[in-house]
Amino acid sequence: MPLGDITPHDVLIRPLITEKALSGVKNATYSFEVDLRANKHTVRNAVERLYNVQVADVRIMNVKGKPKRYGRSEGYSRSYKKAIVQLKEGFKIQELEGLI
Amino acid sequence: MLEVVEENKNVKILKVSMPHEVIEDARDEVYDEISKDIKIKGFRPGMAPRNLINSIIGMDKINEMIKEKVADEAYDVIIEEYLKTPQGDDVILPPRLKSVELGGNAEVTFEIHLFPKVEIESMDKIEITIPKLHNDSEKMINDSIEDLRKEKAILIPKDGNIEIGDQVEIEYQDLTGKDPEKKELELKVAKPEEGNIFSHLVGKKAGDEFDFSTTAENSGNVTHLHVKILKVYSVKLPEIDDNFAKMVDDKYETLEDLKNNLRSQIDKVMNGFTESLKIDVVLNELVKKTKLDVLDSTIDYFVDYVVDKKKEEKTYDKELKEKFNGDEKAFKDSIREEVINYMKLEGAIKSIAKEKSLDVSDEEIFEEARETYEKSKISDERLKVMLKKDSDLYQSIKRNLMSDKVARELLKNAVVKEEEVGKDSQGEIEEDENESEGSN
Repeated sequence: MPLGDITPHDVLIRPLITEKALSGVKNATYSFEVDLRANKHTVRNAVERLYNVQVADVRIMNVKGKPKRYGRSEGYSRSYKKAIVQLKEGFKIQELEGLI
Repeated sequence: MLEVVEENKNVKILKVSMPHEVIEDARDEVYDEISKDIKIKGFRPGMAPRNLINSIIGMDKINEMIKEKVADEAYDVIIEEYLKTPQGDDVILPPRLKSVELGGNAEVTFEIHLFPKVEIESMDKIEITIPKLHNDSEKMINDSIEDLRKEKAILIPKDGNIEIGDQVEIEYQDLTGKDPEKKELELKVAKPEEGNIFSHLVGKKAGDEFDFSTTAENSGNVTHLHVKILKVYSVKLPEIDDNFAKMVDDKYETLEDLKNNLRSQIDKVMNGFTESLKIDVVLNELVKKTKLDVLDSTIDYFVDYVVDKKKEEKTYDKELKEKFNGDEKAFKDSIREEVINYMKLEGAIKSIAKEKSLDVSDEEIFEEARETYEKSKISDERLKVMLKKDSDLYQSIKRNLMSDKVARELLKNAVVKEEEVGKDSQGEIEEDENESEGSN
């Protein structure tokens, strides 16, 4: 999939703030929703440039939309790409610390 | 820790200092409550982190809630360490929260309003005037005997025509179809002016039937009834003699015994009434002779407190409309006057009781409560528990007994005059008497 002119801001859509995502923060592991076109390299690059940290590992997965039903209409919630970013020891994302 | 930081006339500012742990406990409680109630996507109830809750609810709101919790804790301290101690007897209104500071330690300040100091002009040889009551005891005795005669009347079955004064048993049925069930009723036949049915009954016999219509006074609804006369009795009143006295109660041997008993009962009631009149008048005089040294803020707070109470009890709007035609200023002015008079009276009673070393014992309070609840057949044990648990009841009985004692003390040196009153005023007194009987 061609990346075109995608910037680091376009790669990271939002940090995922859920109970499970926040449970990894104490081990410097952060979860993000990322652009569907992004890959491990672009995510690593984006996180390092935006938050001024060094990334040790990136895991990426496609989260499939769940079946949803609204009365008689049936469908699926939207699918998205999730990236779990493990930082190198001693690094943390200050901007996300305030949420814990 | 509780300390008085400021004192001005009858108002004290109390500061409650509490350790930092109290703030932390309050904070934990607040976050627990919020996180259980709030729904945040991605988190189970109660699992959302505090910083996230802060960003959703807002720090100001959360701090406000923490302050409320800390103030509640401080209020408990005030109750335990001030209101429940002898100092608490001088407090006239609930403590009012002034400020909550959450620094290293929690510091909460409350405004305490005490009974204001009073200055009483001399009540020695004070002249009080009460209306002269006409104790027409012979007429009252005769009226009571007449009532007893009617109560002890003998009913004799009668075959002849119904006359005024007879008693009848009827069966009636509603012909309009609203309530077709047949019902029975006992009636004493009165003059036709006193009810439409009586004009139909007079002249008829047992077994006769008739239809008649009646109009309800209030609603104007017309009801058609079918009436059947079941039984007719002539009413024979007993002769007023010694036998009648025995019929009333075996303890009376002669009519004179009954009359003497009625006389002593009437005298007791009249004396009690005269005594309570004197007490009312002397306490009114006491209010007139008392000056208050009170801060306006206490009066304003008291007025607001009474208004809030009335609104809580949902009587404010009714009173405003019925007594003051919607004039809120006049209503509040009247409450203000009542509040000032109340403070004068309470302050004066406390001051005189202290000066004369008057006190009300628990036994006296218990006896008074037993008299009040005599008709309710409450056991002594239950009454003791009630007095222990319901401090408002205990205090109100204590207050009434104390004001009676003070009034009697003042009456010892008072000059009581009885004044003839016009018919109108006498009527008013009788009306008041009836009202108080009704309220009992």
